[in-house]
Amino acid sequence: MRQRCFQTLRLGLAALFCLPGLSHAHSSVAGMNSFYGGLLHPLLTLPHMLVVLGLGIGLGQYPRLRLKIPMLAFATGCAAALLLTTCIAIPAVSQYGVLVVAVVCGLLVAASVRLPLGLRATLAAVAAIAVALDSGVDGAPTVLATTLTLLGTWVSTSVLVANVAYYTSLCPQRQWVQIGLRIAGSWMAAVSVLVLAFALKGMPLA
Amino acid sequence: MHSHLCAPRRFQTPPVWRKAMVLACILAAPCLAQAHSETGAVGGFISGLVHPLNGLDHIAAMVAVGIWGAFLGTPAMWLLPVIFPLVMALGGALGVLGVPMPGVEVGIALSGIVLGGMVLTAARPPLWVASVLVAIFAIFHGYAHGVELPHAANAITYAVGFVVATGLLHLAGIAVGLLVRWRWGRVVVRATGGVIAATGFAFLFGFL
Repeated sequence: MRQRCFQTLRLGLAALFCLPGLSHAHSSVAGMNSFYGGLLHPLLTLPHMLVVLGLGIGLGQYPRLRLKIPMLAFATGCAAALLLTTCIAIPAVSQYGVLVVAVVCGLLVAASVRLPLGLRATLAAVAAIAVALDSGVDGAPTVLATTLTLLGTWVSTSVLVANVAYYTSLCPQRQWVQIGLRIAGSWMAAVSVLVLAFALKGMPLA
Repeated sequence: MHSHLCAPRRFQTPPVWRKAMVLACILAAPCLAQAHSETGAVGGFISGLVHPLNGLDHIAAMVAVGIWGAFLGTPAMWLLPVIFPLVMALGGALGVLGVPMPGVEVGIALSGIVLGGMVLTAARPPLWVASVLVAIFAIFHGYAHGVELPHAANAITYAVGFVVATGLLHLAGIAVGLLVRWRWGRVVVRATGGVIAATGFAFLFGFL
């Protein structure tokens, strides 16, 4: 009787030790190489996502979608700034630039300002430069790894902005949809202002 | 036959020890530490999301903005909830940066009184007056939130959660305000405004 009791106890103990816990042995993106690291970088960096969303919605808010020139300006500016990060050390203040651009993009969406095409292209180029300067590769990886990372970042940011703009342009021109977009813009601007204050205060942003 | 005669000697431990061993094993079972809820991205978001919901004064004012906006109709219905988070973020930035601002608590209490009073009296001022009024009160609310920011929180996700919660409170207010299309709804909306104004008075005179 007592032996059975102990067997049950031992079984219970064994079951207790088998309690599943979260495994932390593997990173969230196992096997991620340099290209995918660069590809995911803007998605995992919220200030960059605020710029991408704000700019994308801003470009797509116009009834007639004209993305060619703004996207060309964005891709060129992004590529040039990413190349620049490999030549010179970018100061840490570059994150302020990203947040200021995010505030501007959010405000433009909230106010539903219709900019002329030239200004839209300029804004896209400035946003691309701000995001790219803040996307430099840390440490000293190989030339191949650096190239792949920056290429991934360039592809990712350009595709994301184009996608957001395109899908925004597909939104119906109904009043409630446009109001929703403007509210989203105001929220993005508000978040950017707060994060900018945190950054100015010297608080860690990650 | 007694069972203890059959059991091996090594199993013959006193019952108290057996219970202690089982208890020790249960206590040793690894679990995630829940002691610190405001760290990490998710913790920061939840902390920011919950923060505006923790103060009745904040809830009352933000809901009042939504109700008043819906009461005034378009474009105030969406303009006021657009202005409030923007200006509130500016106030939050002032609070985070430590810029001194006098009379914050009085301003917050007055926001409940004035905004609730506007709904109660069915006031319809010009749009710019409503916008300026809401913006002034948003500064006080944002400042209070910025000063109270938990330093362990993830700053970015905290800001997102904070703004989203504020926006959702406005939406809740708009949902209440849209009841004005019915006669009984007008009574409910104006009564809600009265409750909000009373809450503001209670905060102003220290009853809450």
